[in-house]
Amino acid sequence: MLLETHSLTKEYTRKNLPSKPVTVRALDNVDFRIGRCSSLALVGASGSGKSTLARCLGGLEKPSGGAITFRGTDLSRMSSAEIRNYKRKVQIVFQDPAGTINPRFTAASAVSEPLDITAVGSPDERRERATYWMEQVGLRTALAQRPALELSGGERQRLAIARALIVNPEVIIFDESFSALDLPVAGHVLALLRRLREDYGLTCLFIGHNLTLLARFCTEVAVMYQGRIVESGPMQQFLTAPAHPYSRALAGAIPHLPVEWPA
Amino acid sequence: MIRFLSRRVLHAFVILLLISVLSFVFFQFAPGSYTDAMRLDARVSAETESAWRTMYGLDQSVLTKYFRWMRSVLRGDFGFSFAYGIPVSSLLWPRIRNTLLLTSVALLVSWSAALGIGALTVVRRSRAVESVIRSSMALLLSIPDLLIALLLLLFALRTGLFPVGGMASLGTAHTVIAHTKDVALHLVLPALALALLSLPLLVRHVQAAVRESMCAPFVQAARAHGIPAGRLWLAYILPAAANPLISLFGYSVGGLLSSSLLVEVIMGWPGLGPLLLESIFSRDVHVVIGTTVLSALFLIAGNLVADLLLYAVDPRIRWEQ
Repeated sequence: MLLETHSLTKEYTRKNLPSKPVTVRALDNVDFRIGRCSSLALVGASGSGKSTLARCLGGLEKPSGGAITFRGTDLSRMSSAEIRNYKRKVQIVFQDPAGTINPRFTAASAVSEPLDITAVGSPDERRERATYWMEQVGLRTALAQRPALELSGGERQRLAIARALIVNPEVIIFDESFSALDLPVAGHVLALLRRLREDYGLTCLFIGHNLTLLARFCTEVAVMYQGRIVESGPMQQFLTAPAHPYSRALAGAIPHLPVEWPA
Repeated sequence: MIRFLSRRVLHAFVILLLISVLSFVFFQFAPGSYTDAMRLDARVSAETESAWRTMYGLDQSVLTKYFRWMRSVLRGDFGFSFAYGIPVSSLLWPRIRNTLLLTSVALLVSWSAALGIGALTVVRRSRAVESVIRSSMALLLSIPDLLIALLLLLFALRTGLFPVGGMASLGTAHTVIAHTKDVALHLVLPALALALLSLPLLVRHVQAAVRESMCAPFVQAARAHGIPAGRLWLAYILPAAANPLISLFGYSVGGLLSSSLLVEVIMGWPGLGPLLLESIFSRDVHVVIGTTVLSALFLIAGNLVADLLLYAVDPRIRWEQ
């Protein structure tokens, strides 16, 4: 397995003076696994712990219990160099495109920054690669020298996706990243991700609740409810025979429209 | 850049003009005048006092007095000191030099300490360090400014480590090095007093700015992307924290100047403070107005420097221009 969690638990304790501290369990013994080339949709209601799980997987939060393993190695036992390598291999694209890009960067520099840090290739080659990935996610090259802040919400989100793709990651976690994109653009990016999955074995973990979009792309699904994974399995099985009551509500809410996605 | 700068300079000019007008008007409403003290002397007749008033132009309208003063400003004199009998500029320049020396050193000390302490508490996240610093800052904030200056004076007198009062000791300045060393030793107490007065506020702001920028979504995203810690601090956290701090720097220049007037009087530093106090008591109008306008000029210059620094460090401001 490429990325796994074993009884992953995350608790937040809030001081509540003069009363006792309040502990909230955001993740409760979460076990899930994602293999190479697969695409998993992690769905659930707001506050069910999806984003906490993404932050734990991205190394932004330290789990309170359990373990995360990448290619069989426990994250908590990795050296700082291995953690840096892990963070390159496992990229996150966040929900808020406006906040997650350094406002002092131009569009091209925001995309090429990971390469600039590691000094991969010459500056011209890095700029070329940045432009290539911007084109791949459907951004015009004319935008390259524009301040990242001047781009629209959808453009900034595609910029964040291009930035994640430029380092050739093995896994990309999309934390509600498609909510800022209109459906044709989302379809275009999903088609690109499908191609990358087929050509380079890219693994995708989608976090969200828009099953209309995710059902067409993901082969597997996991449903989170109150910090636990209550159901997981192949997407087809989930759509036809959901087991958990929340899953049934989710699957039942998918509108059936004759939409054709770009190939 | 030139447009940005010229707009700021024009803005500063208008503010200075307004301050000079307001100073004149307010001083007009203040009770008493320079010649009032003469009446206490039985040897000075009413005619003599009246002649003095005519000579100094005190019997003219505010408008006439203001335009006469403006003419002298254009000549570079800043009016005439009744008490000293010389142009105000020749009184002000040496004092400004001393005040600037004191405030620049205090600014350097307070900002270096605030940046170090503020960043240390945020980065180390040690409860012990944080509570020691928080308590010290609260203590400093709660002690009145006057008392801090007096305590430092008491410390210097008891220990004899630093000279008290003035800017140089008599008869020690045989060489440039000896003179510099002597001035530096005299500078320690007033500069330390000024730095301590502004430190709690600066530390709070540094802590808040660094903490806020560390939690910014783009910093979190960069951390998740595996950006190394050094790069994270230099390209993300510090530039994001710099903006509010640079703006505060502009204001801290003004704050230090006003505090320095008090500290100079208590510590006997020959800056603008003692001169201003003396001129207010003797109603030496042109000296008071000259000092006020110059203090405002420093404040404006501090803010102008802050604006230019913001322009240099934040590309978004350049893009806007």
